Amino acid sequence: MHIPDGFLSPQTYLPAYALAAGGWVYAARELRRRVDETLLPRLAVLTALAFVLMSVMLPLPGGTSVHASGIGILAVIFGPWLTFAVVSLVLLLQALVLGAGGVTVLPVNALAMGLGGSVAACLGYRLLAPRWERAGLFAAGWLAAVVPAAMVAVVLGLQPAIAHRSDGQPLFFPFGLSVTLPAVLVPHVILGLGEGLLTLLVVSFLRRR
Amino acid sequence: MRRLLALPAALLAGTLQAHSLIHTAQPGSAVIVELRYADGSPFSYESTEVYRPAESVPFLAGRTDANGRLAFVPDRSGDWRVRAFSEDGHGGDFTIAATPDGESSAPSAGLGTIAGISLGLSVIFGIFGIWSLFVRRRS
Repeated sequence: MHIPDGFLSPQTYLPAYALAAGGWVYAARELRRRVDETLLPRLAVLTALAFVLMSVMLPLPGGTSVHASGIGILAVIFGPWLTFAVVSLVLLLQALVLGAGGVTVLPVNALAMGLGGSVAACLGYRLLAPRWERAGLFAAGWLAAVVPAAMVAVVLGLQPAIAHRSDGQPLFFPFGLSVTLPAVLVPHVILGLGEGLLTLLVVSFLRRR
Repeated sequence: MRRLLALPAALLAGTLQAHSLIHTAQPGSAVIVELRYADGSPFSYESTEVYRPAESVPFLAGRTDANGRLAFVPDRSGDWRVRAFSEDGHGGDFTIAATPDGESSAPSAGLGTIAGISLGLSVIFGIFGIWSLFVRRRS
């Protein structure tokens, strides 16, 4: 789901940096307000889990491979702003040490996965959990995969319209919305089921302890 | 009369000659770029573009082969830009230093997976560990 460097125009990632910077400042304040000796070890372990989940590809029968994100887990336990902060750290590390994603596209990936995914996960969980706790956890994981995929598909699909040469040739990502929406979204609607199950299992396990 | 007929015939022959395509096969040096997903599977049949150093019009546009490879024959030395895209947003945009005699080198995209994950985990636990020390001292 990470958008790689070179796929987005400066007209996209520069405003995204301004938007994300505001979010990072707010998230840092929220983190400072809530930080204590019990929060930090839990946040560290689940941030590490998210980093590993996002970095390890799991092969599936049929030749494809997928990776989970752990964003649903983080969102349900810590809320959207702390999730945005730590997912941004994870994405920065992935760009610097693994070459996944990139530094120019960091704010877009962070806003889609860290904020869009976690806000959707929290809303889904809060809507369902009062009556159906397990369904709420599953929905949180599913939404944490599907909503960022939709945001990424829209940002990628708008690139040919945002930045192109005078002859219409796209300067960055070349495929439009009619291609990116089904190509990115449809697999994540299915893969989100795995993220939903992972969120349900991990959060249920952590709450029993 | 014969001369009158010979003139259009000669022009027609010239037109046909201009449309013919002559092909040759020759040994030479090419830069072969192999693109793989993180799990090692090939980036097959996906769109690619190759740009000469400091040019914005593609030198070559096409698709990777079944094994996720593309090849180009550099006609000048410098940093050749390679772009590759799949419809679902995978791909890359990087440069390869190449010369016409086939010499090439590409900067590595990050550490290997195991080393990268180890380093990343060290940084995460390092940041939170140091932060915990400050919080504990403050409280």
